[in-house]
Amino acid sequence: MRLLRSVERAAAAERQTDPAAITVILLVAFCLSIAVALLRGGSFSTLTGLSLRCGWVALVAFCAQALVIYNPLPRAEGLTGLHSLLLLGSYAVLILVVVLNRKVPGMPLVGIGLGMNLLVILLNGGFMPISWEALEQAGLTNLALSPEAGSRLMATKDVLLPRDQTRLWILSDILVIPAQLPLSSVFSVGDVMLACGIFWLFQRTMRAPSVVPTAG
Amino acid sequence: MKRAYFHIVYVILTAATLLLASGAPAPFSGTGGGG
Repeated sequence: MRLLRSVERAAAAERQTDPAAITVILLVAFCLSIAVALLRGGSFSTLTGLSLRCGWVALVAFCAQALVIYNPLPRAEGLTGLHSLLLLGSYAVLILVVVLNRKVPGMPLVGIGLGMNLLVILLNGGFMPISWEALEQAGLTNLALSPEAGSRLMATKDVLLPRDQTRLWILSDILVIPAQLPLSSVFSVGDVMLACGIFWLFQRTMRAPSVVPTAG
Repeated sequence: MKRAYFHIVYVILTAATLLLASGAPAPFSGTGGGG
């Protein structure tokens, strides 16, 4: 049994880190948010009036997630597994950051998106569920460490689960950019809310004439 | 001036980190079928 486990881990380790696999879709949304704000006459200088509390805490949470994302175990180990706990802990920290900055424009939307993602992750054993069919449509089946239900995906917070085994399926990774299009990806409604929140943040703060709301 | 510059970088980095850490998409994969 132990030998089998070590063989599984070794096989996963060979496949796990794919430096080219990054969340491009969110980065594109982020860059677009800033680009649109600039095109609308906004300026980076207005960001000096924006007070964001505990931004470094979000960075710590991100680093904790990187451990889970780029060193995935072959299979999800349930809510009490170390990786799940790390991921859930990082989300708890992110909620704290959002609450501390709740008065910043766009932050309520970020909070809603974060809550949606966290809820579906909690209900499905500590990782974001995704179906094999969605992966196939996006041409990303190579990310799955195995085609079986419960298998983790490289460079993601996802776990492979069929639709009928997914709780609150509507909030899981179901929105597909197909393989035929650039930046193929699969994302959730929560991700869309997050992107809208960040978009709103930059539209409001980079265009504010003088007074920009602060955290608190 | 330098302080303002660092504050702008801090705000942008925090917003980017919040977005990337809170989101959970399956990523584009350069070695896979991604476009």
